[in-house]
Amino acid sequence: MTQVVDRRAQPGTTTSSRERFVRRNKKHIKEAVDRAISNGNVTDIGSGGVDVTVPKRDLSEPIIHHGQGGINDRVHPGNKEFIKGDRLPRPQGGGGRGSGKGEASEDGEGEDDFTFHLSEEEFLNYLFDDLALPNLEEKKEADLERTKLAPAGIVSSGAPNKLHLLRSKRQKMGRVIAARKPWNDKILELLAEEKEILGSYDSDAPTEKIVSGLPKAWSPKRDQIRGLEKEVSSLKDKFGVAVSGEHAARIADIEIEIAAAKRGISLIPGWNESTDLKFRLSLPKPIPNSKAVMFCVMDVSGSMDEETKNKAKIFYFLLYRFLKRHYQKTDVVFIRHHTQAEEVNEHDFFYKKESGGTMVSSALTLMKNIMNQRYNDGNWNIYGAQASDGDNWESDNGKCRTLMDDILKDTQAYFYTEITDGSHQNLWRTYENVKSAYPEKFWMGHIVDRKDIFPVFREFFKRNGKDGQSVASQLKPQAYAIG
Amino acid sequence: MTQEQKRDYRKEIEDLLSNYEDGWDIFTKAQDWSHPIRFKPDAKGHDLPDTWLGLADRVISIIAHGKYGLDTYPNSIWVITAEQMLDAYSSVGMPVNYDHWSIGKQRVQEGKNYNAGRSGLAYEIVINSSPSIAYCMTSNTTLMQMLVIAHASYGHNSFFKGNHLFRQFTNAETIIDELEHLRDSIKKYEDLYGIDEVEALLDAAHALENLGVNRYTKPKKRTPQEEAKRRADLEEIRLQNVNHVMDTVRGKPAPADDFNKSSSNVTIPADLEENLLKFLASYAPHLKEWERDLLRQLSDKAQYFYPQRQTQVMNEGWASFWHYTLLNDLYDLDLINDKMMLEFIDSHAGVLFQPDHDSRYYNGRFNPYALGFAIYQDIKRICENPTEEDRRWFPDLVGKEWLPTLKEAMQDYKDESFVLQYLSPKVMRDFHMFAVHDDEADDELEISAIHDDDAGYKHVRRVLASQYRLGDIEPCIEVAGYDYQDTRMLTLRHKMFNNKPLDKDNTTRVLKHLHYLWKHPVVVHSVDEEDTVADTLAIPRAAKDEGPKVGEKMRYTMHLTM
Repeated sequence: MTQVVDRRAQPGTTTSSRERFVRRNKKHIKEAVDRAISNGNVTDIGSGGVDVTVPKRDLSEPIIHHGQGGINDRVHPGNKEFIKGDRLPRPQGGGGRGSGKGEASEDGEGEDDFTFHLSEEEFLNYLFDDLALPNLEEKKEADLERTKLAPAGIVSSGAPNKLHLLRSKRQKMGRVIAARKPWNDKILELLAEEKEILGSYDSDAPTEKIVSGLPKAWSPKRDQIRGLEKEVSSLKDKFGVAVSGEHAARIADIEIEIAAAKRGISLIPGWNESTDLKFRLSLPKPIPNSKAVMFCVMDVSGSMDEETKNKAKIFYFLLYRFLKRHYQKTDVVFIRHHTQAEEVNEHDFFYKKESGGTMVSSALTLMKNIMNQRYNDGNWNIYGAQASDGDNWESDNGKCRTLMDDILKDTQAYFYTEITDGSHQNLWRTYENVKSAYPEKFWMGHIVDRKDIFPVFREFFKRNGKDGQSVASQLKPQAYAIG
Repeated sequence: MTQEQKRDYRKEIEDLLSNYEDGWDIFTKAQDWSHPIRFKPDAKGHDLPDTWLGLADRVISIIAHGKYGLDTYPNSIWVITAEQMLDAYSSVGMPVNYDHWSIGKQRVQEGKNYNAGRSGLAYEIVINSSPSIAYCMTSNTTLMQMLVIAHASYGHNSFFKGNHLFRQFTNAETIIDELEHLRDSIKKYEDLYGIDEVEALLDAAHALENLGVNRYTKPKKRTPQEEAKRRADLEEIRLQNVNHVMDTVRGKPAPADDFNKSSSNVTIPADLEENLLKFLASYAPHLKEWERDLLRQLSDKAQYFYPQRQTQVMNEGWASFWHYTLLNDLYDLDLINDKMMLEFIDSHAGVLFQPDHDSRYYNGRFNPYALGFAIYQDIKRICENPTEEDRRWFPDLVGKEWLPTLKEAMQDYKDESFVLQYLSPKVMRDFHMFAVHDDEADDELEISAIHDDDAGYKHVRRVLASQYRLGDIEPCIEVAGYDYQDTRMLTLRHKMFNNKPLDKDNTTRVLKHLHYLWKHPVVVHSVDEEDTVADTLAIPRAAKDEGPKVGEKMRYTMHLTM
């Protein structure tokens, strides 16, 4: 007997093998990712995935087979002109074969390369593998200051205002139905007997025996009883006078017993407070605070050339994707500055050009102001990320140092990347002081080349082996509850 | 084979179809295979198929079983999408698989080829299991679905059940369970020992898979008691080794002299000599028990696939013969119309296309579908309408009933012997076969025979048959020595066939995998008929110098017992 099975809705069977395949090619993926970061437009990086090229040799699975040489006798089809004894030159690259086995390269791959496409999801997975921002969820419960009452089930005692009417009624009905059952069964039995006795006087009644008197289809006991009572009383009207002797006595007994049973039913309590009443339970529950805001601060002054800006853009791009990926509610504030700072939207942040001198303090002041205006309700985890070529007006550095004290007071972490191919600039030295004052909150990295961006990024966020949290998450994030 | 009760298959089909509103037209009316099935109000019979595919299968089965007496495993037909077909491709069709990067890679490759339009998809894949699983793609036309069912569920299926190699070397009832067990074991070991460890072992085992089968003797299944005893014995041997080492450390006298002889007390059973995976599982000095377990299971899996490589021509030819025969029956019964028949002929011709040697589509081998189909058709022809030539070449076939003769030809042969036994001069002429002699020592190729006279036919046939010989398809490599006392070197012997050398690059890489498992030097000698070494490959390279040199005879360092 053949089975026909429609398996079209079944998930693919090679998904996890693909993961293994991707995993095995991490090295090549890293190269491809680096290339994508170096060459791609900031907002396009990784969108649509990337192509990863792997040397064929890395992927080929060797098996032992014959090499060229020795004696090969082969039969081929399609003889047109050969006769026995003909001699022909040996074709190149194969022992008398029509066409070689080698695969021609048809989509621009070299013959020794194997290219596969890494989807955007896989690309991002790879990018952010093992990375975590200071993770709010992991810390939230220990640090909770406030909680919210949340439904936590149904219990049998509680304050009257928590009474759950529906559940209480259901409970009561169940109990009552169960308690009535023996009485009802008894009444049905008695009525059936009475009906049978009365029926025996009915000469017109069908001759086959009434088996139980119960209707075949299920109906509520009460309806069954009513039905039977109706039949019995009509039978009684007809034949009641004819009944006598033993039968009459039995019927009298039956009626007494039915009355007793009905009284039994009437004694079943309607509401029993100790068992029927159900109440809603609410328990205080910690509320995860996954609200975070990231301040992206970038220097767009004249000393930042196009390439330096690009590097900064790439760094922010990574950060931006990372945040969007990890937090449901994440605000990002873009602040660009030269001698003056302004808050801009994402597009302007990345693409609008400006020039001028550099006063970092202008950006820090603006950041502080925005923090005070919009993110001061205690519900926000605040992160700062600054990119600069490190060039600042010498006289401005002291102001920056002071502002930093103020900012770090309310932020979880602040990341500074200096993008310069030369030696460290004056801002770096200023920030080194900050770093030593706030070793847990303040992070610095140095980017010379595009290829440095990713390692620095990873350095900031990498999990450190033991507790699986990022370095940055060793800081204690403030956690707040939403009222 | 016993003559089955002749069944009135036509009547059976009539009875069956009379239950359906579309009746006899149900196959011609359907636009696609999801055609709705409507029973008549007075339909009778408790197991009437309620899908169009099920009904198509039932009708074909009535003809296949009732008219031709094909013996098949039960069938299971799986409707799948093109994507799922690609998945199946990547995992040799098996419905159960363990995770391995090579499958992921294959899937990428298949997907790329498919999306680039470089390769179409096969219409079907069928699994040698019971029930036999056939994949039908959702995009197939009605006619294609019927063709696939005939080809896979009755053609291949009866081959799996009938051919002696499959009967001997595979177990259709348990294969799915075995694969599940393998998958679960691998998952378990990955959890216990890490993905990397397991992957390294799998990579190595895959490289050795072709050498991990018993070619000539069916592997004997041990009873649990035997297995327990064997393990205990092995443990004993291992302990003995350790004890000897400890004795030397303690300054006790060295063990008796006979122990030090190079041909020591390690005896390798003959069936392990040819099955490298099993040999490693039993004798590799440092493997952990889970590694041995996986090697054994992988060897069993390799064994399952082993008959397929030797019966390609017969198997595809048989399936093609039956889809051709069964579809023609459907046409004769008016169950499919002219339009469908034309589509069938077109598909059939496509599958059986044999490019000439000078065509750009020729890949150096005969199309197994074409060759096999031609030979089976020819056997039938010889039985029914023999020519004078056939009477000379096949006196035993002439005048026989074709059906039992054909079944015999399917059951008792493999490709090599099948070609040698049944390839007729007519088929050779039809294919315009010619044999080419290619000797390395000669600058030119020589046409050694064509389809002209008896001598030519015989030569061509012999050469073609040898092309399907296992030793010709893949190198024949066996365990030849295990220097158990001294270097622990493992020696393999490659018996050269027609002086064909091993592919050096690949072999060296396989040896690296072998070395990973053996953890002591491994060396392979290619030897000629006289056991004279022609070439040696070794990992590490230095081990090359320890064995016999080129031109010397092989030396054996262990006893072999039968």
